[in-house]
Amino acid sequence: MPETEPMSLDDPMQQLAEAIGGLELAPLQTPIEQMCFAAGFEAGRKRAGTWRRIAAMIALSAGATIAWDHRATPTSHAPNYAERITDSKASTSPIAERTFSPVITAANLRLRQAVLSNGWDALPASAGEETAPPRPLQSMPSDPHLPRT
Amino acid sequence: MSSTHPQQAITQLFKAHSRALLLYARQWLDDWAAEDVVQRVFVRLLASSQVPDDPRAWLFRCVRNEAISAWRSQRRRGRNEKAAGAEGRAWFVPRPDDSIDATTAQEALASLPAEQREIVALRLWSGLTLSQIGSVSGMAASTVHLHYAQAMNALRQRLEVPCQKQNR
Repeated sequence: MPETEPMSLDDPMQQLAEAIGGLELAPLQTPIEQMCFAAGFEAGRKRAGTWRRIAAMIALSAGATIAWDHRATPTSHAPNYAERITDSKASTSPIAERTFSPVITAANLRLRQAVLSNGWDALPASAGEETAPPRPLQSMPSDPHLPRT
Repeated sequence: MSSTHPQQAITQLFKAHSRALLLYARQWLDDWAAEDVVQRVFVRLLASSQVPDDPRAWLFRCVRNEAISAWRSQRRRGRNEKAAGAEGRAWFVPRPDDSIDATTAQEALASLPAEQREIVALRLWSGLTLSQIGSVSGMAASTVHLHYAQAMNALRQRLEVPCQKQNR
């Protein structure tokens, strides 16, 4: 029974309260051992969940690190000619520009063939002066190892 | 929180208060749902392995919150639950030396309004003081006493106990 308090009931009511309070309450159907098992199971499930979350976080961070490194390194080592030409146009003279973008024309090919066959004497006297285009080749140089047609 | 032999302390709490907690939960729920609520509270307490400072009040407050939550979810689902105490398992175990019939007492308690029934269950079987009952149920101590007096008066009329004649 509860302890006596200032606001208590009168005696008849107190007797009634004692009579009702003296009734034996029905017990639970579940024993405490089963609850202990359920509590242990629950605690184990939470612990496993914690480790699972930790493993997932590690895997995620590792994946993010790998992805970041992969993104930082260039994917291709091929030179970017377009970028170089743009840079050279911006920073060099027209002569340098001509150096980086050689124009392959018939005259140049003929000049190359003349140098290959006659040596440096085939070059014109001065590249800066206005000179006549080289004469067209009369015959191609023959290779002694190739069969004659 | 005290951490000395928590499982032993919780086992003692179970032995001392589980029946009263079950009766308390039955004020809102049917038998099985009330038992589930009490079981959940004890499982949570066992899993935490820490006994609260005022374990008795803590247990009754937790059971109250869980029972009201379960009652609301049942109501949302639209389940046609039986009214508390209408049918089902008995709240009390009848004994030959009881001064009041257990079945009649259960019916009388079930006929009380919900607030009065809750106060009577807490007052008669939990061992909590009026102020503790007020803190558990969220009422002022004077309101608790008022509900308790009204409930006992209603129970007296219902059980037809001739209280006044006993004084003569």
